[in-house]
Amino acid sequence: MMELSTDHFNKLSQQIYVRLGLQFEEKKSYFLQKRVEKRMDVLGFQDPQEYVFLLCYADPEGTEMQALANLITTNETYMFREFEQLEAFANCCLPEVLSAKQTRGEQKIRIWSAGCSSGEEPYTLAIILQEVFPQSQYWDCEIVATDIDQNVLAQAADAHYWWRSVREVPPPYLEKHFIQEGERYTVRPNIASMVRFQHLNLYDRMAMRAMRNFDFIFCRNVLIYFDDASRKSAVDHFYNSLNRGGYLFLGHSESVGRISSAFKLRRMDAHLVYVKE
Amino acid sequence: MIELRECVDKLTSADEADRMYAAEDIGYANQAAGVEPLLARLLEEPSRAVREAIFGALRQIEHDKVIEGALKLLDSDDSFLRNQAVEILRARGARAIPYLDRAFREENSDRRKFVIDVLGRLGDSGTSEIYARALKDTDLNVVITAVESLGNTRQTKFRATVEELISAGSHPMLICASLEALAQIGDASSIDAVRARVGPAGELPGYLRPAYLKLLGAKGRQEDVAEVAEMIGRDGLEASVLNAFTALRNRYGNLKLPDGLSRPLRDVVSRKNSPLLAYQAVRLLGGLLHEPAVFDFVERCLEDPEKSIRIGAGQSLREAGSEEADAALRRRLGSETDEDVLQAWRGKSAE
Repeated sequence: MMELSTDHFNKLSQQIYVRLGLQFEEKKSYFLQKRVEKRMDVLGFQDPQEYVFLLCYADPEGTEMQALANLITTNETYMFREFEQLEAFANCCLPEVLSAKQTRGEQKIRIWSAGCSSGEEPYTLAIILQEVFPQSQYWDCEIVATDIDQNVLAQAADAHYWWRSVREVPPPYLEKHFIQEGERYTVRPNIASMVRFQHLNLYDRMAMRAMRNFDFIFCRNVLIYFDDASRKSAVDHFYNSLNRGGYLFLGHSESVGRISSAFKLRRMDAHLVYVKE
Repeated sequence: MIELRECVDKLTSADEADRMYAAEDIGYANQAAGVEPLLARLLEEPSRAVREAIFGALRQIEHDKVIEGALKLLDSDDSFLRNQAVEILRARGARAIPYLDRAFREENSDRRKFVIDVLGRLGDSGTSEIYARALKDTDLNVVITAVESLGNTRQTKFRATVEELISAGSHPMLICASLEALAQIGDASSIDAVRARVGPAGELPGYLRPAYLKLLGAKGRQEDVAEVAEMIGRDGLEASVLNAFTALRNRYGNLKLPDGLSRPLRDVVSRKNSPLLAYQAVRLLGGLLHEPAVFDFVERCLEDPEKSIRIGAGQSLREAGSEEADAALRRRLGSETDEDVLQAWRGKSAE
């Protein structure tokens, strides 16, 4: 069994950060080691140094990085995923943006869930919006949820979920915002109607230009599957899509810093968020 | 062409988004005529976001004018422009080499250093001549950059030349860079060459020991483990020594650790300065389980609050394969709840 030294771990985690924007703490070394071991088995490598070299210096197309990315990321999506990040949104960012809008006499808020898959994230945001800001019913609130896959969008629009998708929803919210029929949970119409689903390819630059005037963009655990140029292009478009003072949320271990320096990093409670100043 | 002119005009729009879109469109137009306006705008553009979009556009344009423009940017005082220029040149691959070769002949040593930075991502085809000149450069920084780059790109044909750069009179930074490079491109004979030139680990100044230990771990023979062991008590070398042991163990599965290591390794685990170092130490202790005190210690590690220590301890006991070790592991299996730990103890591969 191979073992990663601190030197190998540092090089790998730095490379993963630079290329994917994912941060790995030392505590996760075993997790990373097991994934690297799997890739080494596939490639027939014995020495981790060979793998480190391949990833750092001999992977110009990013093929191996993508193969590793598929192992170190999870595709599973469920409501209220990355709860603490949502808390930062609910407790800090959202009140700040709402307060600024009220000062300016505006009553419109727009949120974009980019790469929304089967709809768990946009419905989560709708629930949070309604809970944190009950007056939202008197405002023009829109949550635009986009995905490249028409099938998942159709599924999302149905708003039906099984227990696995709602297991992290706080029980009072589950009772209030869902209709339960056996194992199946349906988002109540007042929440479902806050979300508008739209087909969109994040690679399509002309379509991306039409996405304007958002206060928040959530694009969590999506960009890690893009190549460097596409990731950069998408983040540039997000920048243009946001209003000044708007926030971009990526997955909790993802970072924008290596992709773009246009956003400002701001600490909100224990969380780092990206803002367009 | 008309469309390009419109886009160029929009590069000076008051609207930031319009300028970004204009840059993007010029990039997609992929015409040589778009390069100069983009480079010119780059020097005046106040928005970081637009500057990044301009570099994105330059990357899209395939004409060699982009290479010439990027080389000029290497002289900029703005580190953002320089770094982006290096990235563009790297992305051009072999096409950039004749231009880099020409740039390397110029007097500006900073530019020569940046050229080597670029070469570091181009592989070895057609770059050898530039490297050979760089290793004889009058500017020490250029030589050091070249040595680092040769190591990173694993150009083994330069092994002997790099070994020759190490001597008692060489600049310490050059010796350090050469040792690090030899850990990539050297072989066991490189260690003999280094010892002959500057002596073994014990005789090296402290600041060179981490790089030397890296070389021992990466290219050493089994018997070199003794030299690594000698360094374990020295200040600030904990991580380097453990890395060297781990590297040797990865290369020689049946590596026998010298006596006297159990106490310092147990100390590393107990100090818990770093989860990864503690993990490495408890894994190395697996090679010393025949010592009763070590066995007891590793068994106690199965209950450590730090997950990586529990994982390492379980792996060490499992690998020992003795009845006593299996029994110790079985006793603990029932009360362990962490799935990663259980998986490691059972020896299953990651899902």
